[in-house]
Amino acid sequence: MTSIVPGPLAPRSSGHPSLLALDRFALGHEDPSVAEHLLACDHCRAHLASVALEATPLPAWIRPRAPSGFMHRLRRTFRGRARNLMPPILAFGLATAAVTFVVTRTPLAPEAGSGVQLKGGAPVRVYLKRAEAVRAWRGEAVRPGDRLALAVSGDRPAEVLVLGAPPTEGPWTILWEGRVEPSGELLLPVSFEIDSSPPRGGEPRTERLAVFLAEAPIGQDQRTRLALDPTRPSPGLEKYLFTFPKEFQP
Amino acid sequence: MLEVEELYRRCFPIIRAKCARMLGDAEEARDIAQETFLRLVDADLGHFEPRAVSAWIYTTSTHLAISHLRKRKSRKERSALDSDTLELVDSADLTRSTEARATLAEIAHLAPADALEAAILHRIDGLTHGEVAEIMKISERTVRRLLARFDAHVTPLQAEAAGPATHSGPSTWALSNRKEHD
Repeated sequence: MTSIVPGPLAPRSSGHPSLLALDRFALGHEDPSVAEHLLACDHCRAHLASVALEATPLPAWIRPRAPSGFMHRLRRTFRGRARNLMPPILAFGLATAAVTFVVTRTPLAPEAGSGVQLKGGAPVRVYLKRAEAVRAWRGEAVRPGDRLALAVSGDRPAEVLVLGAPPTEGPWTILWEGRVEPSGELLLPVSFEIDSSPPRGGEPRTERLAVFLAEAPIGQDQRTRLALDPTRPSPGLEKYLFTFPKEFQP
Repeated sequence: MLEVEELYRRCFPIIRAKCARMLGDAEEARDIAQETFLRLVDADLGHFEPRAVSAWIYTTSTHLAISHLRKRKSRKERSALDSDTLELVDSADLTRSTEARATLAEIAHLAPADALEAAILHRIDGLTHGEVAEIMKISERTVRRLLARFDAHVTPLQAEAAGPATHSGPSTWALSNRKEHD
């Protein structure tokens, strides 16, 4: 037994934000002083990266104890939103007919802590179309021939940038970018078809997408930095990383 | 509140890191993190507000960790666990955190729960007195009093552990809120 000392980061008196402040920032709380500090502090950025968004599907230990109280609220919320969900679902067919990017990549090894949300606001939701059925993606494995569509929720115009993971090491590919003006939930006019390329060797079977939202246009320099490393902290952007487990047998 | 999947994506990494800081054993930290998350799902926090959610996470995970530490059966068991943990770490930061956890495990049975909570938040998580006061919903003055009470419980252990022949100097046992990296 020795002494109780501060953890890996010291409190504000040392010039660094506290872990609470950093965690709040990671959860979406806007704090300009923390954002400014992160630009110059590798140590704090490392902590933020360590609490990046969990991109893996919901683990099994949660499902058996899905609380009845929460599920009741969820059902109540869904009933209230059912009418709002219909337009995106109906629009999915139109979107898939508009522009289709075929994801022709081999799967990649998943990253540890593959994303950081740096600002609160409109969430991004993925819809999965399998055969003729469309439903919200909830972490289940995707199959060749499935189509994925992205919907953005919010009440303000937003710049959107969608990146796809490369087949091997290298920059991510810009799959779509544009400005949207959502009122509620808005489906992007693109969809992504899962290809049938088999996995290489022992690589996990996954596909990955990164979605960035911003109030102002995302400059070329920033797009380049994001393509090189989508997981890096990006003040001023909302960041969503999705990892899709891929299966070849239903 | 968010759906379970989104809540998990956003909050679980933070809960996991918080529990790892408090508990040296990876399995124990995982168990407490999972219990904290399940309680978060079950909690009715209303609209997702980062400040409120983070405060809830810090409060609940700390309470669960303290409860868990107090359930450890014996001092021997605690010491063995901490020795195992110490063998796994090399960096100075991790070593200091491990030392902090070792002290925490020793003191968990002796110090009042609120003093323990204040010590964890301030000296392991590195929160300011103001932030500890916000999380614990008490005044900063009370925070300072709790930390002093915690130190008062630690002092006899310091003397016992140091002993007249093996005392390694005052800095080893100083419960100071030292500044760390650059």
